Amino acid sequence: MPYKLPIAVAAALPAGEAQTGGRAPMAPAHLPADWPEAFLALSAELTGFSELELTATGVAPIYLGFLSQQFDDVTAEVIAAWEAIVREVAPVGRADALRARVLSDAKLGPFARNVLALWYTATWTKMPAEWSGQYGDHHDTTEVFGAAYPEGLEWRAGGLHPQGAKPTGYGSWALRPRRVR
Amino acid sequence: MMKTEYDLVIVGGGITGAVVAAEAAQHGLKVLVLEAGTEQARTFAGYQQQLATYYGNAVKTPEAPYLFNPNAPQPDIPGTGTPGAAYFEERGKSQFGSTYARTVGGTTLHWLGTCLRMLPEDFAFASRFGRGLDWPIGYDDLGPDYERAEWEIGVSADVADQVHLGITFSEGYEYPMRRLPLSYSDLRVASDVDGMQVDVGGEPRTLLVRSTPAGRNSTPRRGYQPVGAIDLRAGYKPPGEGQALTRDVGERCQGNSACVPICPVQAKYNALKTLAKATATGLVTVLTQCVASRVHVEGRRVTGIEYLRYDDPSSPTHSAEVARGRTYVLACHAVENAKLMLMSGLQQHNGLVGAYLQDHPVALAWGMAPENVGAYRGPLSTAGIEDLRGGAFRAAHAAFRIEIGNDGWIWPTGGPDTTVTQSITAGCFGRQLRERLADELPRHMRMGALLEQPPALENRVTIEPGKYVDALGLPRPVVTYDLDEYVLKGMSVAARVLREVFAAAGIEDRTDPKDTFAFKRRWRDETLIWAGAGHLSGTHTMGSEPGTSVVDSHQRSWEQDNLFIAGPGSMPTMGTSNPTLTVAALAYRTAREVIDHPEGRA
Repeated sequence: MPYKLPIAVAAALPAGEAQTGGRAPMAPAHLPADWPEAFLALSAELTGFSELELTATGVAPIYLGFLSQQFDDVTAEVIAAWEAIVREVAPVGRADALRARVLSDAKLGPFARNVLALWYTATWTKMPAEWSGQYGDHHDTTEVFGAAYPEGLEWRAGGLHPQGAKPTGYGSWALRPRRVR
Repeated sequence: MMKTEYDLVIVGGGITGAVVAAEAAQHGLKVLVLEAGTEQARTFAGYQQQLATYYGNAVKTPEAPYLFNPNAPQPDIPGTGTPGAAYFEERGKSQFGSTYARTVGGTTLHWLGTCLRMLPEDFAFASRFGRGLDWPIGYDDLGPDYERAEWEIGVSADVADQVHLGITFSEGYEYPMRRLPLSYSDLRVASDVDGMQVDVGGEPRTLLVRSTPAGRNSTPRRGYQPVGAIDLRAGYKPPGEGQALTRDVGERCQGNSACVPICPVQAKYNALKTLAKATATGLVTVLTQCVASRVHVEGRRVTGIEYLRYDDPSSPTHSAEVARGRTYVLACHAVENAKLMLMSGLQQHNGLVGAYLQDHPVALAWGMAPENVGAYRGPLSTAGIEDLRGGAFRAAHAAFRIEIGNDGWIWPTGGPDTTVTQSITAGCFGRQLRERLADELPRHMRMGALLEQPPALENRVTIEPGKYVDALGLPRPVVTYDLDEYVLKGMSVAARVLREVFAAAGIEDRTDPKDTFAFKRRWRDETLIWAGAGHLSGTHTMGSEPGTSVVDSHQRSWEQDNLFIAGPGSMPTMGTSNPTLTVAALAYRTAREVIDHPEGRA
């Protein structure tokens, strides 16, 4: 069941055309109108967190904005591949299909892994030179999305709190840790 | 511009400057504090901006909250920082791994907060163990000042835990706040390690996991009011300097787990709290963005401190001014104090200014606990093993204290980020990734052995004016540094003890040179892994006579009667304790001298 983004969130995203910010314009790709929902569903399969959990972080708009501005063409391709998987593969087989069709792909694989790392660490690592040379320089840099840092999934996955945020309370560190779900 | 006459001019707005300023002002002296860095941290809003900078920094070193300031540059952990903008010019066989902060509040903004007293035997290092230097004073001389420092910083500890290796306390003394709760992982380790014996120096030594005294707010004892975050409101109260308020946050540690480099609520002590007391007297002026460039001297008297005042950190445009007082204190930490003295041509006769640079090399070990121990929670360290800080073996190799980390693998490997990215690169994703992290991250354990480093003439800070300079044209420090056999042998012993502790606690050892950004050093047939603890000292050593030291036991210069050079640079040796508490105690000694002799040495 696709999860609909709240209207305010969807409205905050830039429209389909790439924002070039003064750099050499990319060939405009056609991100489908419902691409945020598709991206969230794909991210859920990638990250192991549900669409509801991902939306609850509140940082999806930051990542969606970044990807549509800098990687709208590649994002569109990954979403198209994901939507094909959804059409053709039953839910229980989608992880394997993702591995076979996206993560093993020379172009989509490194990009998808970067998106996965982005969700977990709030950090985008600049695409390697070999990838950019082959599939286009998207003028990205390694950067941490500071506003998203406290919502990095690595902390949730480990049952931890992000260092420097969401303190667990005086003396809490002496308690037996809760079993991580 | 500087028409005002001050009684006391202090260079440096860190803990030494703040303590001396507060004491002097409380005794009616008019004080000027010159700080090279910006005053961003003095307002809570500015401090929150530093927190945001930290969140957005890809490399979370002690420097992560600070924007690069070319006019008051500071060192970075090697391999991090703005490329091509290294501050230190390094000459020695070993890279220097420690840093300090040039900002109001100083290095206490990013310190861990550990407040251990030195051992009595540390003060007589040369007499007892045949190398290095003796202090001109002993533990008993510093006792009352240790108490003052512990109550000013606000140290959380219980005396009953701290009486070991000759450390004594005055009758009835207690720390201002109760010890912080030990972490669950501390307690798990203690259940296996307490009472275990290791062989060091040919004799069995018994280990105990012990609470670490910390300048971090916990539950107060009677008579102490914890001080939370500081916020400076301009014009709140005359004189125009502004009144520092204590915010209603930070009065007790919440477990943000980012002590280094920034406590989001200032539950950890920082020198802004003492500076607030100083400015509350109305007698202390703090000028930031003022870089001291020369100490003006006529014979045995300092007549002024020339400084460069800049309006914008990103522009080298500045004006040169002179601050005048009756007495002067250089308090800008070990390297900057030495650098300023060298720039001013002070005390050239014995070649000791800048010499005896020391640090605590930290041997790192990390592994996987046998069960979920709740890693990455609480203050970055709440306990340690202190039993090997002293003993006869110090005649042969360095002593060390063991710090037990609550911070997982952040320091040695950059975890959990690197654990995540390595898993992803290996093809892990989805549910499998999430479950793997759920299993591994909470089991990440880290310990570090902080080794003493005896003073060596070859380890030093010098300058080459004109050749290595910063944006203002002032010299950058040229650092020559290495670890000698005494330290390396101690590091090898420490690495072995850490392996034994891991084995006893069932921690699967994952210490591996290829997984870490720390320094590696080949010694005999092993690879030692170490990093700097951030404890620079020794560069203007104190002693009992001018031929063999730079300052006397009150940190007064031997050559100028109205000049003090104060801070960790005065420490002939550090022993194995984190130096800040001793630095604060020494600052009280200096403050008394300043107050008793405001014109200088009689």
